[in-house]
Amino acid sequence: MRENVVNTPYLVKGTEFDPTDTDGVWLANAFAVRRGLDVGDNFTIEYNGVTFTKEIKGLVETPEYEYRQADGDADVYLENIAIAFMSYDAFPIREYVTHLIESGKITAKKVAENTKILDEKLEQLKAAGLTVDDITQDMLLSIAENMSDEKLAKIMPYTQMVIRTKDGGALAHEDEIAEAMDYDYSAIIDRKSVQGLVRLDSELEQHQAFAYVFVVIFVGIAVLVIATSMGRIVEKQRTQIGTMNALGMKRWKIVLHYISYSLIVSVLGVIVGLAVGVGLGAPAMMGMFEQYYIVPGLHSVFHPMYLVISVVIVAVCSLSCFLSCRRVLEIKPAEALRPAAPKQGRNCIFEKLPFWDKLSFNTQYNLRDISRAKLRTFMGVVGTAVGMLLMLYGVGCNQLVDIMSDINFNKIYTSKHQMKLSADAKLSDIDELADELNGELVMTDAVEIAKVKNASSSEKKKETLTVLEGKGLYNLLDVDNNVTQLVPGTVGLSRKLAEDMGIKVGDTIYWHLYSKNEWHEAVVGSIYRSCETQGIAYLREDYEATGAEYTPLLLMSDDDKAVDAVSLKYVTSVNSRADMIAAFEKSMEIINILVYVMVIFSSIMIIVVLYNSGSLSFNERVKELATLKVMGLQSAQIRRLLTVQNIWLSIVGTIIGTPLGNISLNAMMNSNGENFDYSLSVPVIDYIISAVLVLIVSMLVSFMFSSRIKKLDLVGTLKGVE
Amino acid sequence: MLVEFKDVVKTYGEGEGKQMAVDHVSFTIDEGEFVVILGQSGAGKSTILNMLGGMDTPTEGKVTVAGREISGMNDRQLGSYRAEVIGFIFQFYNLLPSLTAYENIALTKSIVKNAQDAEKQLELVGLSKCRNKFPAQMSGGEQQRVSIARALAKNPRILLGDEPTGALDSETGIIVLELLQRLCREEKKTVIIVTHNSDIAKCADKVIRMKNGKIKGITINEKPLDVKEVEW
Repeated sequence: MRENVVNTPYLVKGTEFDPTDTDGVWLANAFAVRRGLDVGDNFTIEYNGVTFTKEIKGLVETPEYEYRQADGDADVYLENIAIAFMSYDAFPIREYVTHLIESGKITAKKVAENTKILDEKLEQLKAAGLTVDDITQDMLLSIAENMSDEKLAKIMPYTQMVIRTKDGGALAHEDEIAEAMDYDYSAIIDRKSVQGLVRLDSELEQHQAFAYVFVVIFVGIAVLVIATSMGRIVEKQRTQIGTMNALGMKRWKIVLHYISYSLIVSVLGVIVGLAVGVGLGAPAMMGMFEQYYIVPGLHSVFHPMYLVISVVIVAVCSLSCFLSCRRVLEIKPAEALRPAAPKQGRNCIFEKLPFWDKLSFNTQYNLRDISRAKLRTFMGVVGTAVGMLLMLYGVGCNQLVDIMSDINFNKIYTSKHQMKLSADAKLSDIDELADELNGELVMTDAVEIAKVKNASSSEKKKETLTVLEGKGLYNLLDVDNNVTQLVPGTVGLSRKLAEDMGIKVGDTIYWHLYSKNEWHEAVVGSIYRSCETQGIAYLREDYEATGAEYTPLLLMSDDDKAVDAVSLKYVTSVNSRADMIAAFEKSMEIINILVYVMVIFSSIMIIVVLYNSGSLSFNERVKELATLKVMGLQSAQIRRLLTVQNIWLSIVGTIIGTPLGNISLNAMMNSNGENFDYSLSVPVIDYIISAVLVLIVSMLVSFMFSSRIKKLDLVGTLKGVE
Repeated sequence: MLVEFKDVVKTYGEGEGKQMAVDHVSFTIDEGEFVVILGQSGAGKSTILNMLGGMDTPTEGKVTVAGREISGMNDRQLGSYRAEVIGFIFQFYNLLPSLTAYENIALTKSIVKNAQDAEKQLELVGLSKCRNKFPAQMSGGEQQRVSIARALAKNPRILLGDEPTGALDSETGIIVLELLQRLCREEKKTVIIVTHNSDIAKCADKVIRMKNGKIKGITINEKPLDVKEVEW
């Protein structure tokens, strides 16, 4: 870096980056930590044939290098990705230039074309009747030797210029920038088009959206449960409240007594919740995220929202308590001293069913009970619906990972081996190897695509070019995820990009490689689905016909001899399909954790809600249940009676939860950034599995009442006066 | 002999708080008898009825009903016993509030295989007109008659009544007692009633008087009065 003004790496340890430094290097912290390197250690770098050692002056992180993968790796292993920042002055420019001249990588002609450092010499040569071609390698070496370091440094190319605009619209300034650069640049991209950043932004948005959804779901259910429970607890105190009232205690004192009870309970609950959440839950989540994102100094903080939620919970709890207490106080003391009379029976809506009389006692009884206890029913249904939603997330995610794996490794990358090729490999060598291994070469590169000629940067799309040979070892998919072929003589366009740009088959598009300012025109012959990168695809023949440079990066082959290719200089790595599947699965580990978390949360949710509503229902009907038992109904029959209702509520909850889960899960899976286009949908079997799991949990909850039914005190329960 | 209580003891609590509800009680009841267990509040009469109804178990002693010792039965066996042998009539009726009069009786079909027709039982207690009424829509006497019809629908050998007229005015009480006496005489049901109302004892074949958990005396009425003949 020449300066440290616009994109400043985040300093984790050591000293701030110094653009005038001459002997240090600033190293990516993630790499240093994994390699046991620290500030003050020496670090040796080999760059284009020149080896030099520098002292580590600082450990830094920068988001620009998110999502890098080492050539030899099948996945991101941070211990293999060293990102080093250095001042131009620290770079051993003299050794570097000497090496480049000696190895023939730069000639006097190239230097004269790209820099002005030879201008003076050329004038002298011209006077002697000579040209740049007359400068030999030795002459160039001696010229370089006599040059100052500062002048030599100009041979070192700049690859990027980072510009910060104050008004936030970088592309709006393209004309001025272009003029300032003599129109000598390949592409201007704004922040929104840097793929790593776009992906990071959309992922963070997704996390945030889900964070809100979960908070609303869990807090909502928790509030519902505590509000109803608190209300019922107070109502059960009816006789005590009646007694206090009858004894002449002031109403506000009674209310205060119960509100202080609910305050103590809810405040204690909130404190425990906060302690567990902030102390254990949040750090655990952070730990999970740290596996995926490099966020220096990541730690959980006490978010003000926690306080808001806590206050809401305590307030709802107290309000519910207050309302119930007031309701009880409104009953005349004489009446309140007796236990509440059972709710009056009346005809329910279900009785209008033509087959009502043919329904069994259990069915009629439960239907009447449901229509009588609407809040309890609502709670049960909502609880199971949310449980189903979470269960579906769990089961669905699991299945979707399998589908993604299937798409990638059974449809797209079908070959047994994949070789990564060095960027400076000779095409003739690669072709020879491809022929020998009966393989297919694949080129990918960054391109800009436009719908019209001479488009402004805001109209250009920064996407990926893929060039195939059509041998079936690396495939493209159609919109239905079936393997498809490109139409010879045309370019293929990815579905999402086509939709985004409003392009259809038969339209003309314009594109150029990022690295070259040379535009090409092509007719769209097919629309294909690309799962993780959007862009255009060519057959090799057609691509080469455009005159653009062909630089394949991958060689796919089914031949096991591919394993030996790793010894070749221009092959940087060979990965088997099994390695890649393993790497993919490893990268999806977090999904597996998520699956378990979801299934556990779902079960807890169902248990808490159904047990709570079941318990309320049990307490409300305890006298009826005791009567049935005295009449000779067996405990198992009574349990069945209660189970039937739980199962009904669960079935309704499951039915309601299914579309909610389907919509949100599909939205989640398909909103993984602009480039993500798997078109995933949860298979029917997953709905069935989720529903069965929900019903099993629901049945388990019913069994939790078994002992209460068995131990029901018939004498005590039926003794009360009415 | 249908029922035998042999040296039955029932205590609640332990240590110093231990209370003797029934203290070494023994008696027998024959099939088809109309028995009244008489005593003041806390005499232990309801405890006896609860043990006889299989709702409670004795601490000591033996309770035998129709040749089966019920004092050692488990939860399941007691359930079957209550279903097949006993018809319970509560002081406060304990009808299921969400079911109509007819449904309250018809639910016995879910309890025993040979349950009586619910319509017929309603007719028997003279409440066909209340078929579709919910308990809250009926008077106390009507509710108690539905409760008796419900008990009868199971076709039990013994009808147990815990203060069956306790919550009723005397006029309605008489109707209920008449019904019970008729069931005993015509249907040959064994009826056992617990009450503190000594007038009812005049209609009984056998009166068991209780005090402080002990039997004070057992009287056989050679000529029990008709309910109508008693001056209430």
